[in-house]
Amino acid sequence: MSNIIESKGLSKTYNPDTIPVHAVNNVDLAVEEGEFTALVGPSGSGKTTLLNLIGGLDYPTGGKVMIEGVDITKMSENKLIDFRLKNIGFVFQAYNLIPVLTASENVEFVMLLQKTSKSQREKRAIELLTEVGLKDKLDKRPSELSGGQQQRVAVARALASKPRFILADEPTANLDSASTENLLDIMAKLNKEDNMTFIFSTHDQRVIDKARRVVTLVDGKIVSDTKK
Amino acid sequence: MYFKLAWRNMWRSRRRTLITVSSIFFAVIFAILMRVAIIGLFDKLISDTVSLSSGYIQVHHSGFWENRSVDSTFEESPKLTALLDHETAVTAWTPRLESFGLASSGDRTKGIMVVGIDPEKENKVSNLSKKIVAGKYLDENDRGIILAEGLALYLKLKVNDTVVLIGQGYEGNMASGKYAVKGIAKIGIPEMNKGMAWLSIAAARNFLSTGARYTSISILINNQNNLDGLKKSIISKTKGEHYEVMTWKEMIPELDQLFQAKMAQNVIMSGVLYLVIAFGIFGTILMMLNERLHEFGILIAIGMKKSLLAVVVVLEMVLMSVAGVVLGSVCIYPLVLYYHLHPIRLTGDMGKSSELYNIEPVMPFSTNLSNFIVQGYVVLLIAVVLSLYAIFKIYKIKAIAAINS
Ligand SMILES: Nc1ncnc2c1ncn2[C@@H]1O[C@H](COP(=O)(O)OP(=O)(O)OP(=O)(O)O)[C@@H](O)[C@H]1O
Ligand SMILES: [Mg+2]
Repeated sequence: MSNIIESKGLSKTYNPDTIPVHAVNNVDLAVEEGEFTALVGPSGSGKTTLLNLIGGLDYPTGGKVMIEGVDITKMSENKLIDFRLKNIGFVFQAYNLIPVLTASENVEFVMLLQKTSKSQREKRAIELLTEVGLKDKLDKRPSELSGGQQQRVAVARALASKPRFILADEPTANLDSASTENLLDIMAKLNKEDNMTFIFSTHDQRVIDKARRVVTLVDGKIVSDTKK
Repeated sequence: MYFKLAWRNMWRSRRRTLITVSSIFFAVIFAILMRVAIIGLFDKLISDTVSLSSGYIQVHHSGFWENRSVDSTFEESPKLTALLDHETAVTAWTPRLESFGLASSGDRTKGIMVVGIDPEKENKVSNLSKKIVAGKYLDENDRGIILAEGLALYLKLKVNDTVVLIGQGYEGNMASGKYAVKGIAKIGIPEMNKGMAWLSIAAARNFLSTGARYTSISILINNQNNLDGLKKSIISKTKGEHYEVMTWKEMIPELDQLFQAKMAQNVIMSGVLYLVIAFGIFGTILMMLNERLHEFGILIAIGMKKSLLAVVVVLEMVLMSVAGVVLGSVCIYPLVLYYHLHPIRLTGDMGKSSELYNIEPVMPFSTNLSNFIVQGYVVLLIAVVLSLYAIFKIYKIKAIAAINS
């Protein structure tokens, strides 16, 4: 199988001139299509920084990130925005959604950015929200949804753009255990049924247990990489 | 959906939006009231003064305006009048034969302006017949005279009494005549009300021994924007003849200057109002940028171009401004219309000072839509200019930092 994500010698050093912090230090990581990968490690080990680099939200200080053979670290900011829109889905820790839009409008929004037609947008938003079990919450605003439901809408939104992979930085950090389990089940199902690639960071052992590959970072370096 | 987003965002912090919109609302109302009052006052003043004296545009023998002598008259010219009839910018025109003279009755004498008029044409330009408060208006070739009310009062004359006029006629001739008072006209401009009289043009020609001559043709126009264009057009079409064409601004510059000075004052006062609006809008922009930074970060992360984000944010500010302007304009229009139809009559000190300025103490509001539209432009301009700051800030957003905020 081919790698959709490949990093070579990837590094990010904060404050290089004063007290340098090597948040990501010379990381070589390859991710194949269909993987369900957890990124773990102690606080401050560089998980968020690595995800941001892979997702093109930040520029590295060294090395490169290839997404399906394209080096995204050379792209201009505007090009990267467009690249993210077309190729990468994001789920953040919390408050992912636009508060003034309903669940289905939030999902539609990405498709609007992609200039999908209105009828297709509406159809797909309903499909996706049904898939994450929120068929009856289409017209609810984020403030009317629980944290777990909001995260599920975020997953549906990430899927809406038909990305090559989805990055999720501690998507369950603010959820209770039932919601955590529910979200992970949905992600696993999407991974299994649609072959959607997920990379997520977590501290939660139950989440780690559900992953099929676990990459452990310490001080910005990969110290173990196990596949189940 | 972008519009929906801007619209809903606008109502997100309802109280702040209400404060912003209502500050625009009240500022627009005050700015409109100040403007329609001053413009209405001057529209009337200018139209009253100009229609009875110079006309908006006047054609006369070159040099006439300087010496005002009946010697600078010109003969009736069918070519000239045909030309004026063809100008679409001309609403009406009227020939006049005017001269300074002395009016006396009993032991009282007063220097006045005597104007020979074509009663029918004159009426289309100055509406003189509507100003008659006693007696009757002139007929063609009438042998009677119309006195301005203040003059009649001074000379202690009533309708059917006789007034003696003395003046200097054509080519040094002595001019004198006795006229029965046919009507008395009440003129709004105090100065004119004290010193004007009207004869039929036939009687005036007789009085001044000018033969078939005029001193001027005064022109009424409805659209002030045509003023200079019409002047140029008449000049070019009468090239080679001894006419001079002047606008009222050239003939009565002090009136134009007074208007300009009042407008400048008005602009300064409105400026202060708009400064208040500007601060309000700017405060809103600052708070908005601050509160929504996280959300902006998310939007940029998931693939929204900063340019598009900026458009939505500016749209929101524009919506808010338009709401304020439209609401303000719509709410104040009935009041403006009311005071247009029932002008405010200035009393007390205001009334006295207006007489000093030689202004009739009546203030009909102007209902000209441009007074409303101009507020819209100004507020929109403020909103757009201030939004530049928001755009600048949006372009500087770093997605990660914003998401973490
Ligand atoms: N903007 C920044 N400026 C300076 N140092 C930073 C910045 N962002 C992160 N760091 C540092 O880089 C290191 C890695 O941070 P990172 O957030 O990637 O860790 P993490 O594994 O995601 O931690 P956590 O589990 O707490 O989320 C930390 O030492 C952190 O202090
Ligand atoms: Mg982190």
